[in-house]
Amino acid sequence: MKGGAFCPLCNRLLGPEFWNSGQFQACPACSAQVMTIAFPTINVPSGTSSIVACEAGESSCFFHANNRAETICDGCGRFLCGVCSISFGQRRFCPDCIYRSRRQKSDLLLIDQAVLFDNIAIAVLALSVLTLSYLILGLFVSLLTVCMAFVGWKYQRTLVRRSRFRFGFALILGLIGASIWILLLLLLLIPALPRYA
Amino acid sequence: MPDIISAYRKIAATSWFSRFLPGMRSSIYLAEDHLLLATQIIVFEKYHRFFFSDIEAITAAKSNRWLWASVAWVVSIPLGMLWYLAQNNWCYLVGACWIFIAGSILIWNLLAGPTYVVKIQTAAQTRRLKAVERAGKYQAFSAMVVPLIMAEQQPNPLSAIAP
Repeated sequence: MKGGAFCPLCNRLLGPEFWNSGQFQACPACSAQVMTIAFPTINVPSGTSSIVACEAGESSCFFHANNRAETICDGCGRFLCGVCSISFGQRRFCPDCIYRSRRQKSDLLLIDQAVLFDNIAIAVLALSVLTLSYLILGLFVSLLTVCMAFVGWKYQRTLVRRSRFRFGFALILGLIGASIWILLLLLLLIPALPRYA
Repeated sequence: MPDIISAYRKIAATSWFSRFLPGMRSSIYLAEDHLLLATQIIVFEKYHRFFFSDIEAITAAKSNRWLWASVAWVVSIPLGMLWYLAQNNWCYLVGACWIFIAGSILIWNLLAGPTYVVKIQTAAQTRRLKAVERAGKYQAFSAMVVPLIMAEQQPNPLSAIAP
């Protein structure tokens, strides 16, 4: 099937007359002013992976014994047919390698998400304050925030650079909260302690 | 996980206002052979890659979003003046802050210019690029990225000669 560009608002297929005109044109369906920059790849038919039956003496796909191998996985070196080969730019991988790399986060090219511990630390504190549960669980929440900030500082790995400011912010807020709670508890507990005078 | 390599260079990001709206913050990074779209959803950061050799089209449609936003902020300024009916110093202060913030955002919105809806398309995925949905940002993004994509998708003369 040949590719095509689509209107960003109504998803109608925009014909070649809309491509690379350098100016906005009205979409035939929704009348929105649309500008399309089309690249040569748009003319390449998509959805037709070449699957050729394997004959005697030919290498077959690791996953499909009846299909002729077309390429080699850049991760594990297995022979792959057109169905199993998944391209990432110039590199090709088999589904197993993609699954394994995503779980182990061993290849930067295959990482698709990161957990933001700094946001979790701040969110825990903010939610407890907003829901007033901080009045009861304040010490626990503060210590949890401090722990999250420490753990995140060590283990948070995002693919792009991210400021450490939020960790510092969460750490300071958590430490201040915990200090206040400990002080309050000491003030309440010290008069209650038995005196041996 | 291997050490993070500074392979990515940020070329566009949504405004500071998007920090307060979950799922609205996104940034676009440029790498050697692909674009990386990083979308932040509260406690997760999702990554989508667009290799220059795979990009089929970038489409932009004019949107009236900035006009509606301007109208909303224009309406909110007189609402801030209602605080002055209370005839209390604290209410005057809140009213002044309200008007200042609404006015600042209104001016910023007008200066930022018209809004577009921009999408990038490959054979496998189509994603919205919220980071470049202002006219100025979109033009700067196109000027930077289009030559790179075209250069990547030009037929290689050496491969044509090779047997």
